[in-house]
Amino acid sequence: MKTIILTTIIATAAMAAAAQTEADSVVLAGSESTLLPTKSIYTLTLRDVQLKGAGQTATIKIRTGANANGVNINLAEKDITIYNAIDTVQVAAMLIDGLKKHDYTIIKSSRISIYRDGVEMGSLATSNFKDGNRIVIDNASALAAGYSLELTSDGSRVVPNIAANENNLSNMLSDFENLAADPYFNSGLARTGINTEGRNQYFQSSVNAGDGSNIWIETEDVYSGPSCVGMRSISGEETKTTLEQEVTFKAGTPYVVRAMIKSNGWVGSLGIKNQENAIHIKDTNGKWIQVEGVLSSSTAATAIQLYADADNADGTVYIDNLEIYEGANNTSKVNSEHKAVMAGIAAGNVWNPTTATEVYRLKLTEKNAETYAQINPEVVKVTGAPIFTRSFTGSKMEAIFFPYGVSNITVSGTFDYRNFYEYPLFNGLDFVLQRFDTQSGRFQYLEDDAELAPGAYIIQFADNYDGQDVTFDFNPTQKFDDSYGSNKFSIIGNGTCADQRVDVDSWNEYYYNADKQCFDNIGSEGSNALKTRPFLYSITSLATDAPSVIAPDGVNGIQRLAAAKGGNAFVVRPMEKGAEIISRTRGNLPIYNLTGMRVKDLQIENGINQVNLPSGFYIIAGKKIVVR
Amino acid sequence: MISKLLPLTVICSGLLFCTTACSSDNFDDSEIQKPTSRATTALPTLGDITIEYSSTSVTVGSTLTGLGDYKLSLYGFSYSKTNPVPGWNSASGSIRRSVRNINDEGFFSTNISLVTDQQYWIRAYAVIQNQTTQEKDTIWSEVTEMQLKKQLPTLETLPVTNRARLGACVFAKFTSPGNQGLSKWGVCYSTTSNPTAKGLVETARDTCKIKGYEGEFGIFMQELQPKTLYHVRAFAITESNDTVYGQERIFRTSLGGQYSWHWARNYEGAVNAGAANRITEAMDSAAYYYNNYSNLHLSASVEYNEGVPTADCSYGGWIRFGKGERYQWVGTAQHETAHGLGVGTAWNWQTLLNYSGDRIWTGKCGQRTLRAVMHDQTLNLKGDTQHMWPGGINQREEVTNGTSNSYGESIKNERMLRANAMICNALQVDGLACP
Repeated sequence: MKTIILTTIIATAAMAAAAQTEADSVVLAGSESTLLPTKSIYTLTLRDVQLKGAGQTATIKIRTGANANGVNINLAEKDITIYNAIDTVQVAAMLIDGLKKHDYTIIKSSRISIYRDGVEMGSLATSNFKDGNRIVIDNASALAAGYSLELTSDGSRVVPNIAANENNLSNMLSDFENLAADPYFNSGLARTGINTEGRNQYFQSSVNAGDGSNIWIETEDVYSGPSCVGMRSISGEETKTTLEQEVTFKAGTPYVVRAMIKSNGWVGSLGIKNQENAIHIKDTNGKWIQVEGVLSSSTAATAIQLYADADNADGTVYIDNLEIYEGANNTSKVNSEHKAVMAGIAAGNVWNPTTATEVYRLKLTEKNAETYAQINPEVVKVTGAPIFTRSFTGSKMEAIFFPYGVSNITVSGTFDYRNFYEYPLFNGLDFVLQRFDTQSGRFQYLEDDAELAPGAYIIQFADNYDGQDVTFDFNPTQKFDDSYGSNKFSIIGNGTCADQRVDVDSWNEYYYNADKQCFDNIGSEGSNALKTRPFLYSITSLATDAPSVIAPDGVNGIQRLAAAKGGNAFVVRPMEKGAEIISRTRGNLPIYNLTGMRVKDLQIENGINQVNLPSGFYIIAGKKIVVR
Repeated sequence: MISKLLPLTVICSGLLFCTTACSSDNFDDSEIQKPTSRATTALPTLGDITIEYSSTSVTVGSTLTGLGDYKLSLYGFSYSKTNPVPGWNSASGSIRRSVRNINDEGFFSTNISLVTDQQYWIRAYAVIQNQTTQEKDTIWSEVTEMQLKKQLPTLETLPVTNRARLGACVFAKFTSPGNQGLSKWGVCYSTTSNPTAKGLVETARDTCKIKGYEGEFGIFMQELQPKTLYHVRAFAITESNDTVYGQERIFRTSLGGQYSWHWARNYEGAVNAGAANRITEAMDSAAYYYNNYSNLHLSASVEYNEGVPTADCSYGGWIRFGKGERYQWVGTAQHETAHGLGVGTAWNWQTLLNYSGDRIWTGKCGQRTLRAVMHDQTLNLKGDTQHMWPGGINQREEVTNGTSNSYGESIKNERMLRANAMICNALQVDGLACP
């Protein structure tokens, strides 16, 4: 690095008051000395440049000689302009920090570009001016003392480090190339989009575009560095405000997307532009949280978007530390580098590389109970969370284990005469979920907007999704708590991405039988050789009077039932003027009154049976009920 | 005890009378009530009663052994719901059935109707005559209990394959008929789990009664909420007021169709003829029904052409309206839209229609949908090289006057317009090559 001038220059009031002639200015590189390069490519850095006050301006001029043609960079409180004899371009406007001290980098090549604090603000084509070797700060008296200049590179473009002023990057994935052009939202805002004229901190070269005016560069409430983006949603707003950042997405390629988010009343999504799938963001109640998801696009896409839900109420959101990493649907690339942000394994394969390998996100696909993907956990270490794809039978209750909280559930396929690609699915709209509550020994239906926390679930997809590929994207920050259990039951879930042997010496193990729609007690025989495939679980009863079966009742979830192994298992509950009996088998069921008199023989069928009874107390299958 | 015997001719008369009937013999011989014998030799014996239960009746049987010198005069069964030892006649609270079908396997009485859950006693009898002494005896088997248990029907709710933005057809079938008769059956639905027959229901007005409730039925749900998850399950209420359900199924109302249209030719001619507004309204209405009661895609091009006698349409949706005002309405627009979607025009139309055979639509979804919307499980969706019926809106009156089903019920107006879209959607589900 060649330093041309590294001198503290104190501009005098007399100089500042004079007309703009070179004599009134500070000549940083003399025409005689030819200290400035005359090559077509170089990089200059000016440090600690600060306007003295509002209304002051200073101009950096690069010329071939005194009063000769050149390029001029005009610094003002609210805007920065580059111009020459022919063209003028406003590279920044509506600045909110124009009076603060900044570092500027000037890169000259086919364009002359100006960076501030490591971020490109804008540029002007250099075809219409000659390569100068004089640099002059015109009206230098407008600047506070202490600035300096150095020739960072003579012959090459040295793009400054965009993260130079960041101070909170510890939770980012530093091992992989971040594709986000402005991860820290320091590059201001662009004006491309609907109703964007009023945006503050406009930078010509900003990669942050989108629609709407309720968006700003935030410099106070930030997660890291000097700035982030703030956005406001207003109910009934005609033009919904969105934030876009330019990123090139390849079709069909998965990307790991992460960001720090803080919202207050704002609910929305972070996703690839024009794609259905997105990371859904709930109200964080004013706290910064990290969101993450794996997104891909059916076609090539050009931006990532942050947008509010269509029916979102008033609220604000801030975003910082955006990360976008390109993953892969297979392991071929990983095998050569032994480290990857994401890799996929097809159904039927066991990933067993010869060298210890780390992968942050691992996608496993299951075709059926016999054909599914897994890893050799001795060699492959999953440092983040898995992604799981399998198909489901419509309306059928099936077991699934969430080793982490679920950030997204999507479907890809063709149904209802449309093609869907990673179409987002929601609890209560596309499927229903029941989560096992170990205290009560029941599966409880989840409210539609409930968090999909780690745990053991029964899931039931709508007929629309029969046979379609459903993908579960898990959130690495929300891991299954091994203490998920009670004095009645514990859950042994398989989140290892490999077959799991259950070596407990217990005959109180229950495995889900989707055909019978219940959890079967496997008994003592063979219990030491049990195998649970990934994303399934078993339930262990710790009670001495363990039930022989845990069966779904389809109403209140799945009840714990005490019945002899192999015998009938009933759920009995009163209903208006009668009783409802849910049975796993068909047969005769006697009904007794409280005196023990047999008052009715009911021929029950497998499933839900209802019987009308006069008001009174009854004993059905050993259970006392009151019919009103 | 000495039995008093009737003349043989009377007995024969009784036998003839009872060959197929199920009532007791038409004579009163009150003394022949118990196993009696004046014989000095061993009497024949009757084997234990065998009982075979069906849903509404029983078939009973017994055997006769050791007949020897005896001649069999009369035999059958006697049963009672009040007398633990069924006797010879109604005075004993018994019903006696004589039969004439004894063979090497014994003798049987079929189709004995019983009251369900009622305790009965039954035993076989035989009147025998010693061919040497000419004396007659009555012998009885051991008494056996019998009870026809109440059997409730069982149902299966079938996958909801025909669903649209505002409508869906839900199908179900009886997997066993039970023995209680049925007062009502259909599908109950809810936006939460566990819909019951006490909540929202759509009653199916017909099923294959002639098959003893072993057939299918279906319902047509209309005016549903878009973007909503529905829980449905088939139900049946018996005449004894028991309610049974099929398993619950869930489906989401779809995103709907993508049907749009534009004037492609001679709009001015339509304006000049005063037809433009009618055709526009007709096409807008057809788009509404196809967007909300189907998932089909079509970008229709509309032409006004006075040389067209009625209206026509090619595969893909070039629709031509003629000058007849009768055809410038929604029903015609939907009919022509169906052609645009493949009815009579798709490459596999005739294959799916079994045109070289009975010309009945071969797809299950289409047939089930037609039967659900028409409240008639006996109907078949039929067609020719161009059209389908019923439900094809081949004449205006099919909508305005209605289309009658086999029970005289008329399906008409908006239900028929919606039904037409649902049927076309079902044809696509069955594999019709829609654009």
